[in-house]
Amino acid sequence: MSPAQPATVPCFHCGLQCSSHERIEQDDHRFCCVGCRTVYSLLRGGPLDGYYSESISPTDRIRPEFGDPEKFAFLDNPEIADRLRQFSDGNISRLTLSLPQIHCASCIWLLERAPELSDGIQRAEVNFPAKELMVILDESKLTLRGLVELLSSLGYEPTLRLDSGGEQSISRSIETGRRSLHLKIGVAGFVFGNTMLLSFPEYLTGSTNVEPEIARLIGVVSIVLSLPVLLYAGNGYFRSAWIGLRNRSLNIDVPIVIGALALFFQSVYEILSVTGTGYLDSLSGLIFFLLLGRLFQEKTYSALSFERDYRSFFPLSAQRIAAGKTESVALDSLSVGDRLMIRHGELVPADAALISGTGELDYSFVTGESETQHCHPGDKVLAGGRQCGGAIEIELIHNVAQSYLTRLWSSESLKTDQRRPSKTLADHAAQYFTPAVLLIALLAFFYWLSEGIAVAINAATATLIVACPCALALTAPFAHGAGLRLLARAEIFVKNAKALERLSQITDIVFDKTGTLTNSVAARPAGQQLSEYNQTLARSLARHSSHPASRAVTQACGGSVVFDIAEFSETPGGGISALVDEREVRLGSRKFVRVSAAAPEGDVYLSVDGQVIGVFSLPAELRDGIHTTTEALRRDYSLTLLSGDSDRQKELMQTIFTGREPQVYSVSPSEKMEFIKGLSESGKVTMMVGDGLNDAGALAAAEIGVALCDQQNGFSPASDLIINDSALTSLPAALRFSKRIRTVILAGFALSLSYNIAGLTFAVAGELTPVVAAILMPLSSITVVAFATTMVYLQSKSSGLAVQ
Amino acid sequence: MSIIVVLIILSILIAAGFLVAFIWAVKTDQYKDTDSPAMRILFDDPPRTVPGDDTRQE
Repeated sequence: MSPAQPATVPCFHCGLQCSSHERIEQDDHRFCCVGCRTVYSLLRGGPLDGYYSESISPTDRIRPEFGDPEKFAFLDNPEIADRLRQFSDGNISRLTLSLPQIHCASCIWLLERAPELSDGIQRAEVNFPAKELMVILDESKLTLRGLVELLSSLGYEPTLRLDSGGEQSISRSIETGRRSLHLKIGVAGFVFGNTMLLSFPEYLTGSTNVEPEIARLIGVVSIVLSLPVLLYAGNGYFRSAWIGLRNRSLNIDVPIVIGALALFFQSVYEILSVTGTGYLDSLSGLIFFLLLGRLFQEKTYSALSFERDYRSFFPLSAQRIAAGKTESVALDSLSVGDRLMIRHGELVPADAALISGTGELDYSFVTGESETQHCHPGDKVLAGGRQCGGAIEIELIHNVAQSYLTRLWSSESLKTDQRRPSKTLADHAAQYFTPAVLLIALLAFFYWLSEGIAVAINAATATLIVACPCALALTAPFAHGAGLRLLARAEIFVKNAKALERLSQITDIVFDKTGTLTNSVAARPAGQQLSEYNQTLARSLARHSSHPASRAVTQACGGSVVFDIAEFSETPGGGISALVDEREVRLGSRKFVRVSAAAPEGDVYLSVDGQVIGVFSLPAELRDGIHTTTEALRRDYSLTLLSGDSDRQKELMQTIFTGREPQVYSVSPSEKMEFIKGLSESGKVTMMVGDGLNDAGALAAAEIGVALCDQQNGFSPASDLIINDSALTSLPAALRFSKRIRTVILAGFALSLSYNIAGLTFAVAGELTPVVAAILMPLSSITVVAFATTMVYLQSKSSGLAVQ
Repeated sequence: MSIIVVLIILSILIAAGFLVAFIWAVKTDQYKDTDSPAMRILFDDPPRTVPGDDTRQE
């Protein structure tokens, strides 16, 4: 037995280490925080004692966040609370809350036993894949606010999105769509099975051996049963074909509808005129398998797309202010209550309250309106807004929803890519595809007419059904989806599928220098050291800007005292200026700071009230692995260096660029744009790699703009790719991968085409029955999807992408 | 052989009964989430606190 207590004790509730100086305990158990102790006391001794039994390990338990008791006060407002309820009859309400913390079986166990924790909760049901909790609440016993507070104290704080009411209604309509699909499949399956059963006499003995009255009865019953299939289960296809025809375009549902109608009327005619037994089993089988195929497709889509949203996060960081210090923190480590400093050009990562500073927010990212909104301390600033002005301090009132930011980013593309028409590939294919198929079916019909109308109809219908352009339409989305996901796991964030496609067409790459190829290091004062006061002036100004040069100067003039500033302005390619302690301070290039020719050489100049008082040089340190990267890229692309700085670091750059590659210095932002436009005009497809904020114009001009984010929290919508500084070396592999994806898509097209040719051959030859054709159709879609996704995964490995 | 008429009608009625049950199940959202029930069955029942019963022998 050891005499001393172990140095680190795990928390009895969540398993994390307890702090050694604060003893938080209850009933002889130690806890790491008051939150865990609260959960313990809530659960202990009550009916949920079992939570602490062996079956649920401590690491599965959630660590509750202990926050502000007034946090959910807004739920007392009946209007807001109403938006959360799905149904209410005054006292009893039903609502669904999104709890992203749900991650395992213990969560389900705990949450579904919520009724035992409070009388007001009548029922609680977890929807695990959607990470939602459905609650039937008796509001006379427990208010909505009380419910949310209870869940939060257990560690499951709901994500309440009140302003996107549209989102809730979208997911509800997906729900009803899925439900109706289930119903249709049920009906179609019921009819299919029964009509097949009724056709047994025909199958087993041939239609001649069945007594005529019984045959009549069977026929009539089959017709009656088939009506719900035609009118209800299959009506989606009819509606879609009708809409297509009304718009004078043949979509892929038209052949299916023609086939189904042909089967039905032919069968009715045969049965009523006693010339045969018809194909009603084929008809319901056809609809049944088509609907089943659709269900599988939808499930696959939602599984794949859910992953994308879930994993959408950026390598962006924000400046968090804690205990007097400012540190760079990744976006996903932020939580409600954190104080952040948002500098000029940076984005507000989540809804927050403005604490200090003058907010000039540009919400063009969110609303499209570029007029800035003026905000005072106390006002609310919304996620996606960009600060234009001095730095402001904000306090987050919402967790960062990175899927929201991703959506903002990719929806931006809707505005900029206006030139592409929105017709899907399937509709395009249908233009040629459907008339061709109809023609072939017609030819097959006439060809087989000599053998009898039954055979002819069989062949024609099989032809109409087996031809499936949907495989063509599925290859690209799935291949791109898989590609985007894999790239995200390799820490390269591509805006959308179109950007990924353009990536494979690149011919030229243009690099920015400072901050892209070089690391940001503290500036070195050239000449004598600045006085304490001047350093404070410089620091007070520079900290408001996220430009690499400003950050370098802030680092060089370290200290904790800062002055408030006024009239901050940042000139891209020039510098920054403001009134600091009532003096005009300018920091920037030689021209910007109005330096006379006699002043010493340097990269960044500082002037106070018109007098140059300081010169800094920015020592350049190449990023690790840059040499290998440029070596690799050189093989397939033409490289260029465009830098806004002077050519003082020429020799250093010459170590990574060859003599034949243009290296241009002292380029202004507009000259950068012109250069890139020039490349585009000469037919080259350019990729620009630069700083998200300061090279915004050039990034927009290039066909692909890659924003390198290094301790920054801002990117322009013009960027198609966002990467971390560490991911720069993965660029060659990523480009290789994008080319391979293109190959996979072409292979998918070839696969689908050969399937169609084979299928059509058999159908026209009369060897295919409509039911078999109906099975083949969804099968081909699923095969193509599986092919596209698997091939892309394989290609990611072979192109050397470093996937986490 | 005309008994088959009765049989056909009966079997269709029974099948229709199952269809109605299916429709009811879909409408009460039983198909909405098919993953959680799999985990739910593994949870233990809360321990019984009635004394004496556990000692009963079968």
